[in-house]
Amino acid sequence: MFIRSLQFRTELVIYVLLDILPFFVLFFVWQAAFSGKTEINSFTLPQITQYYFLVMIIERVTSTYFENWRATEIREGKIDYFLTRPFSYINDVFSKDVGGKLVSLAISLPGLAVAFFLISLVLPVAPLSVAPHQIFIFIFFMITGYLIQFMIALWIVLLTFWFEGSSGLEHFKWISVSLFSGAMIPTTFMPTWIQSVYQFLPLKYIFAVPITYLQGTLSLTPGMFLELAIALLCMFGITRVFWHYALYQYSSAGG
Amino acid sequence: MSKPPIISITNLKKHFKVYKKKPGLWGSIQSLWHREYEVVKAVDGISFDIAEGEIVGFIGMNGAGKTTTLKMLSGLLYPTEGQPSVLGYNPWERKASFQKQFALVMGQKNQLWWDLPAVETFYLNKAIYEIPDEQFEKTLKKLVKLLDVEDIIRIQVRKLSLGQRMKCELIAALLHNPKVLFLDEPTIGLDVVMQKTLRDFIKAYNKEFGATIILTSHYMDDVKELCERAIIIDHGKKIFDGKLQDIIDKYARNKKLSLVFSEPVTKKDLQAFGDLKEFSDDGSHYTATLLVARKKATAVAAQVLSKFPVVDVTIEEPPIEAIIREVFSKEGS
Ligand SMILES: Nc1ncnc2c1ncn2[C@@H]1O[C@H](COP(=O)(O)OP(=O)(O)OP(=O)(O)O)[C@@H](O)[C@H]1O
Ligand SMILES: [Mg+2]
Repeated sequence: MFIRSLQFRTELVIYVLLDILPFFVLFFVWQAAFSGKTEINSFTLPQITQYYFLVMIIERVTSTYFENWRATEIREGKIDYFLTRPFSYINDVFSKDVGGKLVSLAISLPGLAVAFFLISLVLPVAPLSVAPHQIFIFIFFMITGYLIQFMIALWIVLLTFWFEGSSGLEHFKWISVSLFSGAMIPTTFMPTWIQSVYQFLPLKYIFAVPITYLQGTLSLTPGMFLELAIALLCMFGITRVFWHYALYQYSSAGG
Repeated sequence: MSKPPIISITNLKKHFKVYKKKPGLWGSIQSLWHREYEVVKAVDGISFDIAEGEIVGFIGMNGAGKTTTLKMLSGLLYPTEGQPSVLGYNPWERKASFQKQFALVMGQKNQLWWDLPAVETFYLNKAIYEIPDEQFEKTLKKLVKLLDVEDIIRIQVRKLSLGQRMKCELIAALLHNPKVLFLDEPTIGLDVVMQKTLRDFIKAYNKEFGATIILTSHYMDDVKELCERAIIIDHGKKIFDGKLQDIIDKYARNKKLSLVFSEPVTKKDLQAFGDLKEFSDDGSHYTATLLVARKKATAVAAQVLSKFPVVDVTIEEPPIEAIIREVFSKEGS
């Protein structure tokens, strides 16, 4: 069932390169910003490099790539197969994306490891010293982060039932996740209005929270886990309602 | 008291809103806040009951609303009005127990996984429908043998011919032994031999499992051979529901006799035998088409054969569309 992802094996190499390229660009921008200073907003340059490296890992694990083809599938009426059988379409979207992701991770992780090694040779990266339980919690956040990204992507797909061109929202999703999750710039560097949106939204649990936790600049509280749990539950509920109403709009084109 | 119907619909309607978009970028922008639309009444108040074990021919011209009706009966489309009942369920609720008892096959819409061999879809269906191993193996073996597709089911579906794919579609739909079957143009685009194979197969399935079947087709032979009862719809409305033979007797009074001669014949001689519809004599080919009363068709053919230098003759039913047109002009309001 993972043929689709296997077909893109060659593209994966390109994806890894695409991950690394911006990394270097970002580094030089930051290096310029740091000229003459050792610390900005309590980040040192090696810590910033480390930050972006963790962003790169999380990005690899949590991002989704199904919006476009799933939206096309719905628009072209190709989901009859699922709707007439005792098998959930959303389960299919989920299991194929997870399956594809595991395959692509297995293929690209060695590449990432090599990339990290090379980067650490040329750029100053602060070494990470983490306890096993921290890695465990980091992985936990990657899983919940994936669920958050998955559900947002799914909402975009479900909007296709009403608006044909909804997969264009993919870019909107990308921008808002980048801005409000800390993936683009550590949030302490952001203007205050973005910081307040950031505090309000659960997107921070995808990038900023786990990264700063691993870097040792954030200590987790039970309240954070509660907030994350509530956010996931709400998103799950919204997805259910969304799907329920989307089906009324289905036109099963063709035939 | 007669058995309750397996399929029952009352005043079923489906109206589509079709948005009209002006061309170009400006049109797209305008359509964001002001969308003009037209209402297409695809199905407009159809009612019928179908009893267990019946094979009903559901016929009508292109765009009459056949596929739309079947999609509502399958729970794919939400009716604008009227909730159908199939096997005592409302299809829209998509209960697993309902879905395990029916199948929808669309000749024009592929339901097998395009990139995989058909046999992979069969196994996926086995998992989805929770078919016990034994039943699965037995049914698969039987269906594969009946349709003679041993070699085909291991080839990627997109590499199959239309006829080969249709056979696999049917197998995929029947593995869970559905009690109700919706067949939407299962024989479309197939050659005469393949059509016959599928017809025999559908008939055998109906006999063996007592399955209730709704069949749509544009081929008179399909409907005539399989269905005692026919429902004719036009522009979303039912215009006939009854014995197929009745409409054939009433509206298809003629059969079509196509003739090819080895030597020239005269129009006049032919006209004595029936209504001469076509006649061509280009000096080397001599052909003619006669419309002959249904009951006399074979007798007339015999006479023509003995009187004229005939090299080829075929006797055909008039096309379904011609009959529908007749029915429509007489019974439709
Ligand atoms: N999703 C849709 N959106 C808008 N209009 C639709 C849609 N599906 C069907 N229609 C319209 O509804 C009408 C009935 O279509 P339907 O597919 O049911 O016809 P049909 O009887 O199956 O015809 P055919 O013999 O050509 O398959 C047509 O006029 C068609 O244009
Ligand atoms: Mg149709």
